[in-house]
Parts: sequence; C-alpha cells; structure tokens
Amino acid sequence: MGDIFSNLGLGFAVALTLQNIALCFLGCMVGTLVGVLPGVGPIATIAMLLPITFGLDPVGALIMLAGIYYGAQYGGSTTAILVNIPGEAASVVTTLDGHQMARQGRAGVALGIAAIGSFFAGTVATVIIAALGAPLTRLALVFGPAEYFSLMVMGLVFAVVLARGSILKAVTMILIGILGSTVGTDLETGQERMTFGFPFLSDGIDFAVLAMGLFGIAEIMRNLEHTETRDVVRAAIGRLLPSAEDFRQAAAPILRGTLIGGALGILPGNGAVLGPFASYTVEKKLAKDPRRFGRGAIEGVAGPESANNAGAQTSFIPLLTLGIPPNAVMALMVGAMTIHGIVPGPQVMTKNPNLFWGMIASMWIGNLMLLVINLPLIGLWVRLLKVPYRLMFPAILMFCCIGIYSINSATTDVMAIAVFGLVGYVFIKFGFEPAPLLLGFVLGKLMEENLRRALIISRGDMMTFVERPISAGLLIVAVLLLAVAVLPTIRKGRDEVFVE
Amino acid sequence: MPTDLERSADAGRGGLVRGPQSLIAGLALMALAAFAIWATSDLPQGTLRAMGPAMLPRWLAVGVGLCGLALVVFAFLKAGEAVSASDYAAVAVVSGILVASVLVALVLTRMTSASFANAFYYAFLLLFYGGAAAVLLLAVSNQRWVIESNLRGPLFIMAGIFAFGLTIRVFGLVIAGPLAMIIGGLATPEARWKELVIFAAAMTAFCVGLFRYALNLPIPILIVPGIIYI
Repeated sequence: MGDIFSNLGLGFAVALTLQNIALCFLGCMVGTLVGVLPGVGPIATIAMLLPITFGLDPVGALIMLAGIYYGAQYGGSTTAILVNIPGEAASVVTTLDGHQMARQGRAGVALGIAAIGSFFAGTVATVIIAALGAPLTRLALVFGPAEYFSLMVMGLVFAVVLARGSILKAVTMILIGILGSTVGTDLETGQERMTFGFPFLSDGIDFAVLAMGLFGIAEIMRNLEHTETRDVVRAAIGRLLPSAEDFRQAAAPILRGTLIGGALGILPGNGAVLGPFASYTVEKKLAKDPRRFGRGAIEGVAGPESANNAGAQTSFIPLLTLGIPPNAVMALMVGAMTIHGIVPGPQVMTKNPNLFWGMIASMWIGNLMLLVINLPLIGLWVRLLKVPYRLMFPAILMFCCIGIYSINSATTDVMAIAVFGLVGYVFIKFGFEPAPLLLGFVLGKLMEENLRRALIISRGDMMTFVERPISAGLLIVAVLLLAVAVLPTIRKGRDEVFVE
Repeated sequence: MPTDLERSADAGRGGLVRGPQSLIAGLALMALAAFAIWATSDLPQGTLRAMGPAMLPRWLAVGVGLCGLALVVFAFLKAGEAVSASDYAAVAVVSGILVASVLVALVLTRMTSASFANAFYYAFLLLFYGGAAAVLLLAVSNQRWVIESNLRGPLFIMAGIFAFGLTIRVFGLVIAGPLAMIIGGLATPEARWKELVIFAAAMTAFCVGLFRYALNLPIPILIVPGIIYI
C-alpha cells in the first residue's frame, strides 16, 4: 500500500508543475473543442491533434495527449446529449436518455451528472491503475513470445465478440487489418512485401493515416449523405448542478457503472466499449420502473457515462504494463510514445517512473479540470454545435489534412487519407465495422514478430503455444469466448444489447 | 423513397440471391484475397522454423478469401440486406479510374521513358479531377441518377484532400488550405460560394497562426517559387 502512495506522490509532483498543469488544461480544452464537433470521435480527434504535441518533452506530450483523450470523450457525451449524435460507439447509450432529458429542459442536469459521474469514475480508475500497475508489470516479465502471441489472439477474439453486427464480418475485418500490417519491408529479411515499387509503402502503412481515413474522413462522407437534420436542443440548458434528489437517484448507478466499466476496460480487445452498454442494461434491470428508461431517466445517463470514463482510463493498463494496445485510441498513444522515443511496455515503469506515474496522476487532474472547465463553458459548446455542417465539415477536412501532413511532412500521407476514407465509407455501407480492422492492424506487426520468435525458439513446433501453460490458458479462454459467442442463445442476447 | 434499384433488390430477395449485400461483399473479399496472394507470389514462403516474408500474408489472404466464400454462401442461404447503387457507386467510379490509370501508365511506360509510378500518378489525378468535375456539372444540372448515386460527397471530399496534398509543398498552406476547404466544401449541395470562401480564408488565417506560430510546426505557409518562401 505504501508503495502506491509514494508512487502517486511522485506522479503528482511531476504532474503538478506549472507547465504540466497548463498542458493538461490545454489538452482538455482542445480535446473537448474538437470532440464536441458532431461525427468526430476520440480516434479522429487524437489523430488530428497528435502533431500539436510534437514539440513538447515526452512527459508533457503524454500528459497533454491524455488530456485530449478525456476532453474528446467528454465532448462526445456533450454532443450525444445536446444533439443526439453519438461521436463514437460508447456514447450511443448516452443519447437514449441524455437527449430525452435535454428535450425536457434538463440538459444542464444531464451534462452535470455526466461530468460528476465521469469525475468519480476517473478517480476510482486512477487508483485502480496505480494499484494494478506494479503487479501486472511483474507478470509481464514472465511472458515470452508465445504468451504474447496468445494474449493478442485472445484480445482479437474479444474484439470480434464485442463488435457490433455479424461475427463473420468482424473476423474478416481483423484478418484484413493484420494483412494490412504486413505491407512494407519485412523486418527479418528486409524484403519488400506488397509495396508494388512505391517508395512510400516501404515503411508500411502509417497507423495515424489509416485511423484518420477510416474514422475521420469516412465519417464525413457518411454524414454528407443525409441532409442535415441536426436536432440541437432548443430548450434552455437549465441549471447544471443536479438536485439532492438527482444525486440520490444517480449515486448507485455511478458506483455500479464505475465498477463495471473499470473491470471491462482492463480486458484486451476493447472491452471498454462494452461498459456503457452493460451498465445501461444493469440499471434497466435493477430499476423499479424500467419504462422510464429511454424517456429521460437520470440513471441511464449517470451509469453509462461513469462506465465509459472508467473503461477509457483502465484501458491504459494493458498498454502501460504489457505494451499491448487494447483499442484504437491506445494504438494512437503507442504511435505518440514511439515518436518521443518511448517503447510502451513493462520497462516504462522501471526506466521512466516520472513519465509513468506523472501520466497516471495527470489523468486525475485532467478529470478534475474537465469538471471545472466544461460546466461553465457549455454555452460555448452549444453555440459551436449550431454552426451548420456545410461549414463545419470543410474545416474538419482541413484540420485532418494539416494534422496528417505535419506528422511526417509527406504529401503521400495526405493523399492516402482520402483513399482510406473511401475504403472506410464502403465498409460502413456494407455493414463492416472498421474498429476491428484498426485493432488487427495495430496488433498485426507485434503478432507476426512474436509468432516468428516463438517458432524460432521452439524450432518450428506449433505445439509450443499449447504446451506452455499461460499461453494455453489464454488460448482456451479465446476459444471458449468464440464458441460462446456463436451459440444461438448468447448471440441473441448480444444482439439485444447492441440494439438497445 | 426507395430507388428503383432498391426495389428490384427487394423483389430479388425472394429469388436465388437472398442477401445481395453479402454476395457483393463476399466476391470483393475473394478478389482482395486473390490480389494479395498474387502480390506476394514472388516472395519466399519459408518454413515454420524459419518463416519467410510471404508466409503470414499468404495465410491471412487465404483466411480473408474463406470469409468471402462464406459470405457468398450465406448470400444464397439467408435473407440479408439489400444493396442500392449509392452504396458502391463512389468506390466503383474510383476503382474504374484506378484501373484506367494503371492501363494508361502501362502504355506510357512502353512508349516513353517515364517511370510507372509517375505516369500512374499523373494519369490518376487527371482522370480523377475530370470525373469529379463531370459529377459536379451533372449534379448541378439536376441529373437524377447522379444525385441518387451519392457520388458527389465522397468524390469531392477526396478531391479536396488531393488538392491539399498537391499544393502544400508547392504553394504552402495559404493556398492549400482554402483550396481543400472550397473544393471539399462543394461536396454538399447546400454549399454557398460566398460564405465558403470567406470562411475558408478565416480558418486558414487561424490555422497559420495556430500551427506555424503558436505550435512551431514545420509547415510551409506561402511559397512563390523563386521569390517567397515562408
């Protein structure tokens, strides 16, 4: 226990310097600013804002990025409540009751309880990360290539099970993602794979480019299809501070949401996305009068929002301890860390304790700041939301271009986001969700590396993955999960969760 | 309002193909798999003990192909989603342009000493902007099928991004930014010229201040070849 406090003490000492507080503040601000824009989720926001952290020292840059992440998350909830447009899968649930509350003139209370719930969830999640960080890092040290490979297989199976829509399509997306990661120079032999002689492909496809195309540009193309029917709440925002009665109703859902979201967020393979759905279902089951849900029940905002934020934060755990990004946002964090010369993984905590604990402490500070800056600024966000989409999307387009150009100063990167944008647009049109593709792409390189290494060690014997106990255990979990997901009864339940 | 194509697809769902969407998706995936296998065909596969560069991509391609096959099979067994022309019009047009430019480039490399990559690049851009302009003209003159095909959005978004990529190194952000915003802005039929131009100018000024002066990113601002370089 003492360790946690001394470590967190170190973290706060780093995070509370004037410069880092300012960076955290700035990150939260711009993160919210971009995240509020309808149709811009956290992935596109981070990809767009990545370049603004380049000039900073690694600690400052990561603190700012974490701030951008929370800001984007919170901005997404604001849009979900005020406009009924979810910025990402996780805030779909918030639109159900949040927007109804807003229509009843209780937008302020909905936003307030979302912020307070998120802050509480963030506080708990910070403690969870601090407590689990050290033991999990020790666990990582007994992991060999075979274990890493199996862990990633399990993560991808999770992603398949958690993806919306058809399982077959999710598997396809993951395979295409891994296939995409093999484009470029082969690390061991130096031979070029599937580059067709184009020099810009010899380093492989850049992750930020792929993410920006699939999530930023494709989203614009999709939004343009519908003539604008943005339902910005016209009713007054109302008071922000929830009443004592609201608090009484929301307290238990916040607590349950935090626990559900926090636990799911640790899972590899984007468990965090399940948190809000699970929390909403639980609250609806527990409610005395479930019919209130979908008609502005405060529990339906408080629980999922807390779960969302707790999961967003605990999903840092697999990245920081094992070096495996559990979802696309964390994959962007890997990119950002690599640019600053930090390889995520168990060695970060021992080699760079300042960075590790500073970042964790700044997560809490970031959450506090969101609470402080967002509530007074809601008027500004509402005004921003009233800007018509015909002006908003060209600006988003330019930001995407500038953002992606400044990462490598390469014009081919800019061209590529257009192409991936079209690809992502077609995927969505045919009912393929791009999120699993991105995760497959991120884990692809790591998987191939570990697969090859494991097979070299075992002299080409595939049995190594089943003979090593930890690896076998992980694979069994993966197989069971997949089997369970394909079972008809469970599949029906899964479909219901996502339909709600 | 369902379009004619949608209606015919709906009617077709009672027939042999019950899930047109998964049929098209499956065929496309099988084509992708075949392409990947062809693209890695000149690389050594290696053995499990010492994996070659082609082993994993080839396995993955086979996996993608099998998924595609499964989708095709399901298309005949299970009633699924319909497909409307607007779902694939944009990608069909762009793929068509892509194939045409590969052909043009192959011919050009035979006839002249141009490199394949360069010839392809110019052919693609010329055909793409030609296509985008044609779509805009047809859409403005209210051709129903162009409006229903949803070509305008994706094509103009891409055209805007391409314009940015083409001009940022040559002329700088002051030109590339407004160009991207104005061309991209034409993606919606609601676009208004005057408003768009003023807004593009203002946003560009803001971005110059933010990215170049506040954040110090090495992004060129204005280049007039041989005279100005900021």
